[in-house]
Parts: sequence; C-alpha cells; structure tokens
Amino acid sequence: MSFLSPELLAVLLPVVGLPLLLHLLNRGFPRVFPFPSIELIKETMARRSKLHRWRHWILLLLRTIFLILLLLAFLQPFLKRLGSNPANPNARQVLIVLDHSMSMEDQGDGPTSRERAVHEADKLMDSLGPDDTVNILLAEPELTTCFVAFSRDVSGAKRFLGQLKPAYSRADINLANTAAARIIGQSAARPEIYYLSDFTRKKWANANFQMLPPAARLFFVDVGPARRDNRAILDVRPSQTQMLAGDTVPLELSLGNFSPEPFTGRVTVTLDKKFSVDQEVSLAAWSEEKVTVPVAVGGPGVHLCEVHLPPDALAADNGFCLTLSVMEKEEVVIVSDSPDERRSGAYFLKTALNPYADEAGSLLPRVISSAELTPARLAGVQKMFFTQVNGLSAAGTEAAAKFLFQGGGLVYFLDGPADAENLTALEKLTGAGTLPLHLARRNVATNVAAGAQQIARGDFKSPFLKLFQGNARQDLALLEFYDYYQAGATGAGEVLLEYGDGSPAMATLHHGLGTALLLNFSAGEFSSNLARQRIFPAWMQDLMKALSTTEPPPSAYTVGELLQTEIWRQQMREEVMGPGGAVANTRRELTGERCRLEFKPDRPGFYTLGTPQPAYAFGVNPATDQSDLRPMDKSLLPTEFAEQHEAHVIGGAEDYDALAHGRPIFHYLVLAALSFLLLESGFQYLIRRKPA
Amino acid sequence: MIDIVPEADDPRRRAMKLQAAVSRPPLLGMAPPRMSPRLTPPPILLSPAELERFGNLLLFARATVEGHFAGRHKSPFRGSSVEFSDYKQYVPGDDPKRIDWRCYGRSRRLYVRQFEAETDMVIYLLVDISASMNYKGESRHSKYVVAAKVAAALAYLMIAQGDKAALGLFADTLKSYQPPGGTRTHLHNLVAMLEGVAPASTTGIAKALAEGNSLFKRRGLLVVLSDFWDNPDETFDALSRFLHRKFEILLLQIVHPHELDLPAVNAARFQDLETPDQVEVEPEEIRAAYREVMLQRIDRLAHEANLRRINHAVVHTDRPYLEAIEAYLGFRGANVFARR
Repeated sequence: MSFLSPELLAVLLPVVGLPLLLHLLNRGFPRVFPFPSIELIKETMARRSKLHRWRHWILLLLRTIFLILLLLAFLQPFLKRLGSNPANPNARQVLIVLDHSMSMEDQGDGPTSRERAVHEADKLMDSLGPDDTVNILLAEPELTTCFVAFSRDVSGAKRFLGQLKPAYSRADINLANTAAARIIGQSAARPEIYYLSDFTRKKWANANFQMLPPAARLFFVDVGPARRDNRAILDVRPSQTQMLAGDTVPLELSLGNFSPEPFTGRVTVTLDKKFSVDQEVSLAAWSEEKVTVPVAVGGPGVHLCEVHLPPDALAADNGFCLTLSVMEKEEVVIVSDSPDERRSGAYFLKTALNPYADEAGSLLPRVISSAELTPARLAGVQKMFFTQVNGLSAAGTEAAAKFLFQGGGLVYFLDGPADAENLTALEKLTGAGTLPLHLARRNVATNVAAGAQQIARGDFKSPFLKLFQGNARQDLALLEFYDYYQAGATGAGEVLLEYGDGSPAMATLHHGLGTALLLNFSAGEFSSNLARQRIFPAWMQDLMKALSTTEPPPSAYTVGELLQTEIWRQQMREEVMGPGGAVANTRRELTGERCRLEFKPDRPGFYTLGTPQPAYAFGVNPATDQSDLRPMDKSLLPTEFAEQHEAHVIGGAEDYDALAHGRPIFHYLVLAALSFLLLESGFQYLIRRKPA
Repeated sequence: MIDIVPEADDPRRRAMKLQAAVSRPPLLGMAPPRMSPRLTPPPILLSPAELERFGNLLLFARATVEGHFAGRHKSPFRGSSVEFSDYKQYVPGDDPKRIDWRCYGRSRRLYVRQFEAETDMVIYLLVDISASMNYKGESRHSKYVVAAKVAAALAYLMIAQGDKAALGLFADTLKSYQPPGGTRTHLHNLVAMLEGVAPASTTGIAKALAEGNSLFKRRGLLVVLSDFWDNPDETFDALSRFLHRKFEILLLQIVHPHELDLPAVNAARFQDLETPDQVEVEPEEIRAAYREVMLQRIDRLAHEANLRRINHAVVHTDRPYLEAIEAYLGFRGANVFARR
C-alpha cells in the first residue's frame, strides 16, 4: 500500500493518540461527584462481566483503530497493482502483443479467444490517457503491427483490431518479442507490454524474453477458455507416393484427442464432394493416433479429398484438405528369355503385378526377351524386372545401366544361366565395386525336402521389406528356396535378406538416380515356393511402389506457407480460386512456355486453377501443431522469464486502469473506519444496556 | 444527646407566638423586604399558596381524617364529637353548666351529665438529617428541604385540625426532639427547628427509633421521613416496638431522581456523602442495571413495610411534595406513591 499524500502523516499522526490521551486524562483527573450513597453503585459494578471490566481498553482500541483508518484514508492510499505507480507523471507506452494463431479460434466458453483478446485490448486502450501511446503487434508467422511506432491514435488501433480476421496459422512469440524490442527501442518511459494469448504450451514453452528492455513491465493476459478440450486431424497423407488410376489408396490419418475424455466417433473421407467413406475411430485421452482409411482414388487427374471429424469448440482443425494426383496405368517390363509357359517365373511375376482379369489393375506388365532390351523400348518405362535372363548383349546391358542411372527401378531375379556374367558386365558400367554381392556356385536342390533354404536374417527397416515388418515377419518363414546362388556380400549396397548359410538373398545396388534389387532366388515353380504364397503379389507390387523415384507434389499445405508451382502459359490468365470462391492474390512469373505461380493462402480449404475440372489444386490446412490447447503452467512465466523484468500473469476481466495507476482504497478505509465506529457504538450499547 | 425543646407554658405568650407564626415571613416563605439581596435567604418551607392549599386540604381531608381515626380521636371542632357518657349526682364543685335541668324537672334531683374525656391525636415526625439528605443534584432543594417541607406541612395540618405534632431530627442518633404540642407557637418552633438544621453525619434510623421509643409517651402516628440508606432489617426491628405500642407508622422515603437513574455525567468518581468511600464509574454504562437494583431496594422496603402493616410511600423530590401530604391523608389506603 502506498500513499498519494504521505506528507499529511506528520500532521495527522498525533490525532491517533487522542483516545489514549482522553482515556488517561479521564483516569487521572476524574470529576468527583458527591452522591447520597454509593452502596448500590458498588453492588451494580460488582455484578458486571469481565467484558465490562475490559471495556475501557476495548473501547480505546476500537476508537484508536477508527482514527488510524480515518488517518490512512486521508493520506489517499492506493494498492500498488503489479508494480503500478500512480505518482509517475510520464505518459504510458502500451504495446499489445496479440496472439493471432489458430488456437485463438477456440470457442470453449462462447466467444473465441481472439474475440476475448480484442475485447480485453479495447478495455486496455480505454484506460489510456490523452498523452499515452499505444501500438499493437500481431504474433503471426510474419509480424503485423498496427503503427510503425507508438501512437496516440487509440481509435485507429481499435479499428485495426476490429478488422482482425480469424487466424489459422501459428504464432512466433520469439519473433514478436524481437519486434517488440525494436518498437520499444530506447524509450525513456517505462513501457508496458501486454501479451493477450491463450498461452498454449507449444507456443509459449520456448518463449524468450531476454531481448526486451529490462524497464519493460510485462503482463500476460490469459484470454483462453477454462475448458480447452479439442480433437483435431493433425495430418493426412496417402500411404503411397504414386497413385495410379484404379488404385485403392490407404490414407494415413493422424488424429489427436487433446481432452481428458476418450473419443469414439466417425471420421469421414470425402472425395471430390461426391464419394465418402466413414470409419469409426477410438482415441484415448490425451493421445495422438494414426488411423488408416482405404480410399478408391478413381480415374486419373487431381482429386479433392476432405477428411472430417465431428465438430467441437475449435472447428478449424476438424477438417483436412488434401489433393490426390492419380496417374494413368503404368507399364512394367519383364525381361525373360524363358518360354512363356505357365510354370516360368515370368508368368508368375506377370500375374502378381496385375492379377485382375482383362488387365484391370493399375500396372501393365509386358514380357520381353533380352534381345528386345533397347533404350527406345525403355523410354516410357520406370520399372523393369529381370528373370531367367540369358546373357545380355552389350547394348542391352548398357540400356539397363542407363535405365538405372536415369532413375529407373530394376528388380533382378538371379535365376538365369548367365547371371554372374550379366552382373559383371553391369558392374563395368555402374562402376567397379558397386555390386553388393559376388556370385559363386549355383546351388540347385536335388532333394526338395532336405535342400530347401530359408531366410535367416533381414533388415526389416527397409522400405522394400515393409510387408514383413512387425508380426508379418513370420511370413518369411513360409518361404522355401530350392535354387539359389551361394554368394558373399561385397560391402557395397545393402544386404536386406540373408539365407541361413550366410548367402545374401536380397541386396540393393544404387546407380545414378535408380535402384536395383538383386533377388537371389527365383519365382519359378520348381525353384521356390514363393509364387505359391499369397504374399507374393503384394510383395511384388510393394516393391514396385518402393522403387518409385519421382517425388509427387505435396498433397497438403499449411496456411501462410508459400505455394509454388509451374503452369502452362495458356493458363496464365486463369485465376486461382480460394475457398468460398474468393480469388487468391498470386504472383506470376513467365519463364518461356511455363509460368511460375506462387501465392500465400490465408485460410484453409482448396485453392484451384482451371474450371470446371481443376488442372491444379492445393489443399491448405491450418497449422495443426496449434491443436493441443493445453495451457502452460503460468506460474513459470514470471519466474522463468522475468528475472530481470517485471512480469505478471493476470486473468481476463482485469481492471487495466488499476494496473497502471494502482487501486485506490480510500473508500474501503472510510468504510472500515465507519464499521469500527459502528462496532464501538454497538459495544457501548451492549455494555450499557445489558442488565447486571 | 437529644435536644428537647420545652413547650411554651404561658397561654397568652403561646397565643402570641401562634399569631406570629402565622404572620411571620420566614414561615410564609417570603423574604423580608429590608433583607440584603446578597444574603442567602433561609430555606422556604411553606409558601402562602401552599398554606392556602392546606386550608383547602383541611376541608378536603376532614372526612378522611375523621374516618381514618374514628374511635381513637375526637375532633373538638365537631358538636357530635361531644358524646354523652353517664349521669352522676351533683355535688358542690361540679360545673353547674352541666346540670341536666330536664332530669331535675322529672326527678327533682340534680344530676350532672358526664362526657367522654376529649383526646387529640399526636403525630411524631421523624426527619432524617444525615449527610445523604443534603443531596440536591441539579434541583433547587435538597432531599432534606423536601423532607422538611413535608414535615412542616404535616405539622401544620395536624395543629390546624387541633391535633398535636412532635418533631424528631435524627442522623446516626436522634439529634433533637420537640415534644408534642398543638399551638401555633409550637408549630413555629417546629418550623424553626427544621430550618435551623444542616444535614450531616451518617444514617442510624434504628438507633434514633430506639431513642424515640422512650420519648414518644403517647400512642399516635409515627411518620419517618428519610432516604432510608440504612440497614432495613435493623430499621424494621426498631419499628416493631412502635407497632407493639399500637402506633400507626408511615414511612416516607425521599428519593432524588439521580438516586433512581444516576446523574447524566461522564465518567466520574462518586463520593459517598456519609462515608469516605469513593468509586469510579461511568453512569451511562451501569444506568439500567443500577436502576434495577435501586427499584429492588425500594420494593424490598415497601414489601417489608407491607408485611408489618406499615405504610410506605416514595416521595420524589422532582414532584410536588404536597403529594406527600395527600399520601398522609390517605395512608390508610393503598400506597398512592407507588414507585414510578
């Protein structure tokens, strides 16, 4: 408690001693009053209670307290509210740092946290005097300020806040603090910085306040709701990079349940606003889980895919937009010199890659002989299989090496009569020492029951063995290999599988942009039981996907992220349409026949170019790392960051005028003094009216 | 030692004194015209207006007095009071006025009519002159003055109707005593005696009554005017002797308003008027409780008196003391001076 008029203390202090003085004077010089008989007076006094005996001291105490309270009231006391100083004659400098991130859109208690923050900022600015200055800083990925420097234009600041749009991005507090330090500069006044935020952990855990001037007074105003439960779709991505027409693509959904209650509900996947798939999901409390939803992607082209969760207080992260780029059917070449009979490896391989009738699958396998292996034949092919190949010609070897160098995927079954020679020739082209294994004697089992070899070891983290991860590893135990090369690892490449005798069963060879898989077994009927296993088609198709080297464009983006793409010159005049039909503000740069296009989406949804069927589409989503709304322990804020700053955590509905000027308590003291006066009167009435 | 004032024996002188008593200014309460204004006037006991009222009271009270004392006391102012008792044969020396000539006409013998001997009533006024009676608070008159006025009025009333009045002044003992008398001079003496007293000393009602018991020769009416700041048990023990002698007793308790409600002063040291005792008290704090205790004391006195067929009345000094006279006139009935 401080006083505005402490100089009155010396004048008024003697008044406090008046009751004691009067008491002593009464005791010391009482008036002598002759009375006929004091017999009954004595008798009456003797009947009095202990309270009556102490009455003088009690009354003295009450009167003294009354006078002290009255004296304090005259000194114009005020409570220093969080370091306020009403005697400070300087004008105030107020900087409002408003958290403008997605979590501020939470409607836990009705209005959003952003709306509450604007309301609090309005109240704060209402407390400013005519000479006080203000500035507003929006904590966003890219900072926005209301004024260049501090300004007295409070109404302009209010207009700025009134035009504030919902936020879908994240807030960078450290960036905001850096900007705040720059705005405050070397101000002589003692600036006040008000952080209006919901103080979620992810935003504030690593906040750094050291760059702020030590004279600054920091106020952390929590405008978040009391209940902050939230469910969110954190990420959605297709499980395969390349989607071919007709594929059923598993979408991997990352869902978060940031509430103390478990969640069970349905997640809905909609494709092109026409087809939808529902799937029930159960999420434990405070958990993030992954859910896979298979989606039939349909024909080639760009498809708009939306994923939705049931609504909650924070609506922005209940949906997720992504685009699925579906390609035409892919041709796969199978090089084989064995007759195309039903028991050959090529036959089983072809069936595994497209097991559907009328080649309805997404892959179109074509069997050619090694003599047909030319660069022209491989021009439109990205994956190629070798099985039961005879000796390759130099041109064929060269074509294969070039195919590999340019990013093609090659799967070589070592089950031909001239594999060792072929690999040696290939090594000459790929470079000495690039082969992962060297072949020795071919081991052909004469006794199937006793000579079968099995896989003993493997590197199951490899994407080529994804099917055998976890419990699925036991499927390898079903595989028996009768014919294989006894071989040894060279140290080049990676050996992914090994037989029990140590011979590598599967190894990779990298050359240029491409990858070759060397499989030391055969898919032929008499060489292994591989083709008879149900996992065989799935494994082969999985190898196909894993060998894809072309990186598809991202399927989803984040609000505020810079989107870049290239369009054809003819499409330059077409607008990028944002969510709700709004035209996006884009930047275009012509480079020959192509045009570079870039823009920053400011709200979630689909941004498309081309009508009616979009040629380009971008799924934009809010910053889902803001979905965990749990607040940080605010007791950490002042202690951790405010060692050299004066910092205070205050709740909402704060009296900002009291924060600046202190809280006057004159009236409370007068009331207290009157209460004591009333108490004194009551006590007097009690001791006088109470019969003996 | 009791100061007994001798009664004037010369009828002529007594008659002159009575005339003087009626006409003297001090008795009438009128200051002499030539008296220096700087001198303190003597206490006024009876003003002319009061005396005039007593005259009216005489008429008003006659029936009451007659009824009250019927069978005990014959008033000489009424013809019916001369009652025939018997005949006796005339012998020389008898008053010839009392010869019944009608009887002589019938029997030719001289008979003299005999009447009951005429008696007058005696009222013994005992006035407290202890120091506590000197209290007057903010009133014009002290308790003693009020008591003296009541006593003087009663004496005047009694003498005016032909009765006799005696006066005793007591404090811790009976200080002075004026035997019964029925003349105006006697009344003057009583009044002069009341006027010449300055209250002092402690209260000793019982001792004074014991001394008075030997002095009060004739049966009559005993009126005690006091504040009764004494032991009530001893007081009633002493009064029992008078009751045994068939005295009618009236206790007039003189009470100052301050004795009921305590004075309106701040914290003060109360000094007992009769003893050196002192007590510091804030009257406002104990007023209600003190009033209860005081009323209990008055009630107890009245209750004890009632048990012994003694009349008790409270004379408030802030009310017209003539009410005390009315109390005397009706003291056979209910206590008209019930406590306020």
